[in-house]
Amino acid sequence: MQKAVLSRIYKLGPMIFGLGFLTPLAAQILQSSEVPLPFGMPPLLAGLLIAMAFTVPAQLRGRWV
Amino acid sequence: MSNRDLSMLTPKELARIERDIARKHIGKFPWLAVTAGIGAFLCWLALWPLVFMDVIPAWAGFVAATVLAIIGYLPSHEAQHDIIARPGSRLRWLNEVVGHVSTVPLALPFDLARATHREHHLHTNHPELDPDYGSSAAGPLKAIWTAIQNIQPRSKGGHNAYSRTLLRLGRKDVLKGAALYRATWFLTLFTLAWTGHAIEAAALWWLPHHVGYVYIQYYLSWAPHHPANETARYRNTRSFRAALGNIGSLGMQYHVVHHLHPRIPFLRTPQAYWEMKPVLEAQGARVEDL
Repeated sequence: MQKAVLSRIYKLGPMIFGLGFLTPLAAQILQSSEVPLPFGMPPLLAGLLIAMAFTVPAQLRGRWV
Repeated sequence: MSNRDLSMLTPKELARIERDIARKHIGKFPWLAVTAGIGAFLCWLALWPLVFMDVIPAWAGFVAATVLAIIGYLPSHEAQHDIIARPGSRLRWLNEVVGHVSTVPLALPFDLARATHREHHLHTNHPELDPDYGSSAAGPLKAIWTAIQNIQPRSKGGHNAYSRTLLRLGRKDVLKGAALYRATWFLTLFTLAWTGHAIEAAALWWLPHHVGYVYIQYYLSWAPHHPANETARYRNTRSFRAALGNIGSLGMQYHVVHHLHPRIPFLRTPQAYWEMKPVLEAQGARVEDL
């Protein structure tokens, strides 16, 4: 049971990393560079979209590059 | 040594001369490794307040942290081979402290590094048993690309190869420790990121970890063993002339001496190499490039 849960978490690694790190990283880079965001989008949402653009393929392919 | 005709000696006699040279270099306390290991860790720690308080910019912190992460591997490598202090000796604790702290900037668990590195020495260039075999590649550019591929989540090399090695060795304790270490590392990065310090965390830890891994794989795994197609003692490692010089290659130009005599301290391998070279040539070692 414990092993199965850990294995599932491990397999979801890219998605967890995308949400846990890349999303706030992209948001803070956007904020600090003062890039105007379309539709009054909050930086965190823009960060999430950017992070997911990298994370979803990484989750499916098992590699970031 | 250079005046002596070695061609008449048997491999056993040559090995004895080689051991005598090695013995001269073994047992010296590696002060520089100890101070560099602890110093690199402390300097890396100091980067955090410097970057957080805008004393230095994040990009400068990234450059410094990457250099420290790469340099820090070398003292840890000395500790992996018990060069600082042997098990049971008075200064054993120092060996362990240096081993553990010097790879923190690289986010590399010392126990995992030690266990898998010993397997690398035992089975150098063996496709199944050498945990670093995954870094082999046809040329320098392919080696860099292979190193980048090895740090991907579902790669065959890198941490996944290390996990397979630990399972084969029955070292679940080390594997669990390494998993906990990495989970803690990721949680620390996530916490920093969600409290508004993602750029600092990326510059000081996440990016140096990845750049450091690629650099170390290139110079410590690929370059000294290329083309990694021989497993014999005198043929599995080579001396080579690095484009970035001996310092830029982390002293790996003389790595052949390290594989033959792993307890010679890192800083003494160049001297040992030049003293041993005629013997190594007579033994058929791959020392033609340097």
